Amino acid sequence: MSADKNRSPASPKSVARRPDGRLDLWVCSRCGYVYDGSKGEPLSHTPPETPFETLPDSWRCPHCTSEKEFFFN
Amino acid sequence: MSDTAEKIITTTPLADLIDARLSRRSALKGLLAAGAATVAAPAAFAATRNTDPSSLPFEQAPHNVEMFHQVSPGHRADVLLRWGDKVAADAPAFDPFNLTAEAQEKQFGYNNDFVAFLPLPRGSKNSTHGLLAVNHEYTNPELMFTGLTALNAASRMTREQADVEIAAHGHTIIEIRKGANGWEPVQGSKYNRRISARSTVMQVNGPAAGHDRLKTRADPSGRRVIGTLNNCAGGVTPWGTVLIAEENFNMYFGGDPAKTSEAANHKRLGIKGKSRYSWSRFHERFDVEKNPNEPNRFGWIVEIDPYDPQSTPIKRTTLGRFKHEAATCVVAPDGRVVVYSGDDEAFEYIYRFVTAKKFVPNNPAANRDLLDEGTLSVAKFDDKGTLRWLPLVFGQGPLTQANGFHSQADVLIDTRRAADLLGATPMDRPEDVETNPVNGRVYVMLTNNNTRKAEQISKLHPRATNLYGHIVELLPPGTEGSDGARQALHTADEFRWEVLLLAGDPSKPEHGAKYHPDTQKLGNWLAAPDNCCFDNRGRLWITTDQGSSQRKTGIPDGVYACDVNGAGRALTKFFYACPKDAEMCGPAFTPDNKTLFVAVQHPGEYKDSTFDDPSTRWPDFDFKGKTPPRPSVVAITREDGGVIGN
Repeated sequence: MSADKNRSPASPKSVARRPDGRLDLWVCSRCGYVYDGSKGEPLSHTPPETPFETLPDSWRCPHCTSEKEFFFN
Repeated sequence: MSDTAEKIITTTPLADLIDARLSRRSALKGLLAAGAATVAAPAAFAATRNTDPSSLPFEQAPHNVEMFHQVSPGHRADVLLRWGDKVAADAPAFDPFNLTAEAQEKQFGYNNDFVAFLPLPRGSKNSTHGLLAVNHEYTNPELMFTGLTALNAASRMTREQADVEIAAHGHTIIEIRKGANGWEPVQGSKYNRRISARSTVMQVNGPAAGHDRLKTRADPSGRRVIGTLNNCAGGVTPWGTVLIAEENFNMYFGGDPAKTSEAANHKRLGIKGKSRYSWSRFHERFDVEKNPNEPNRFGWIVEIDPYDPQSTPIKRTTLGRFKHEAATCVVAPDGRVVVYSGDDEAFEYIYRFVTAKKFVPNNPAANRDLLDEGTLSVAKFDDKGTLRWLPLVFGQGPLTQANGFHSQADVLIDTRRAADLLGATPMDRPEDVETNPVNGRVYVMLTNNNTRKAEQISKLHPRATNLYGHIVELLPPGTEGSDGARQALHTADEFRWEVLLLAGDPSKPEHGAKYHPDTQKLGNWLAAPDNCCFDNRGRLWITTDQGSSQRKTGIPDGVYACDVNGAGRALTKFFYACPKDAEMCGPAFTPDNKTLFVAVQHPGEYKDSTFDDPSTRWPDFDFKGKTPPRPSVVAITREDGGVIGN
């Protein structure tokens, strides 16, 4: 089992990327906060190169606390 | 005792929770940790259990979420203004199935937030006739147009739909009058006015006006902006104008900011290259690669004179550039005007502006540009109950060329970066900041912050993963007693502070909530304090915004009131419940406190709730005609016509 057992399983091929190869941007449909996978999220100590798809189900929008299902890319 | 309760007691000893300066008597009646409820109550405290220590006598509204709104028994809640209602005299009738930008420019906008009541005549305390000034913060296209969802709207919308959205953003001024049938808008009034993000020309004043970093191809002067964005709350100046806040302006811009000369600035304000809105697909000014300076023309406080319908709104850059929640004014003892404003984002700061010159009473014209000169400061707290205001002045401290600031304009355009360098204290989403007209203290709504880690907690922020929020009380010198409003020294360099309450459910120790200990029995718990106001007796009226968490907690958003002085301090009582999936904004009393205006924002907003199948059809409940839910301003009064809260 991977050291980070809170991660949802997702193969590298199934994560969304931008045309230039960087991880895609995901937007909170409630408050507009943008999660940039290539940068991660310092506030929640999420390291760079963490795809949105692999964030745990417990992850919340850092701005408005909405769940992952409110995000779109 | 549960493991969690024991942890709360051992990691936050009761002695630390009680400010040493409080008398023992008020400490007993004051705040006790949820975990400490298991400790036997002292005899003096037990005596209060048979009486209600709160000065608020109203019977509470039902504390559950419904498709309709609910108010304390003995009161009535009347819908006054709905999205689409006529504002301009020649506005067409609202047709939710055929929205146009032109019609929307003449109608009440979407998602009302800030509400202010300004008496007519100007300068009076008339409470039955006046102007209502209302912000329109943002739009929910999935509830405005058929066939869209919250997740696909930005990519599927048409240009025409985007233009409706742009026209629905901004502000409304409308004359209202209280008659035999309650409050009604005055149709055809010369004061009725829509201000929109789509068409209203605004002037820029202060140090950033005309700066190169505000210039665009469309506006080479850097002094003329079309519109205002994401107007959240605001305030009323002592001379009767309104200040409206530009909050989450960042989310309107597309294009990659890393490719612009303002990359670091845009990043600091959360512009990352993808927008919740479709606008950048249709309008170049929202594409930062084509217009890198356009975001610098937003994020300000805008002053509007509602009594002069021909006036041009003015962006007052002296007050700084960040995600302003509101802008609250108070006159200091020496006559200078102080404006408080919170930057609504996790780990951002609280700011204070002090004018250079003094307020001139009874002469609005003399104060017209008072806000163009003065000093902006940011708050730095220590954990011993003191805070200092640190000035953001070019050339002082680290705000020099060596750190990339070449003028006060740079300091203001990059307010956040300047405050970072000064060492301001990161807060848990400071939203509204309001001053109490009786005790003179300043109350800060900290809405929530789910990203605060255990190693980041302090007495000011005692909980990690702050899901429920809290309220902090600032004490300018002179406000140590219960009636210090007249001598409150809002201009002082140093204030004291205390925690008023920690929101959440006091029956659940893991929440770590903290209220008056009788709250569970005589009041109701709340989450996510957002905006607030005071009544004439100095009681605090809080409005809440849980966002999607409303569905998890099961408690409604709405209006909660409590004493801040006396034996009932922090005993919150529930007064009004929003309909399902809405948040509560406003609130604003008439001068006589017989009417409370509130704004119901985004009724029906949830991930699978759409124009075709919304989670509520409040307020029209027109199931046959399928009218979508409509954000609306509500006027609350007592059935017996008395003063609310008496």
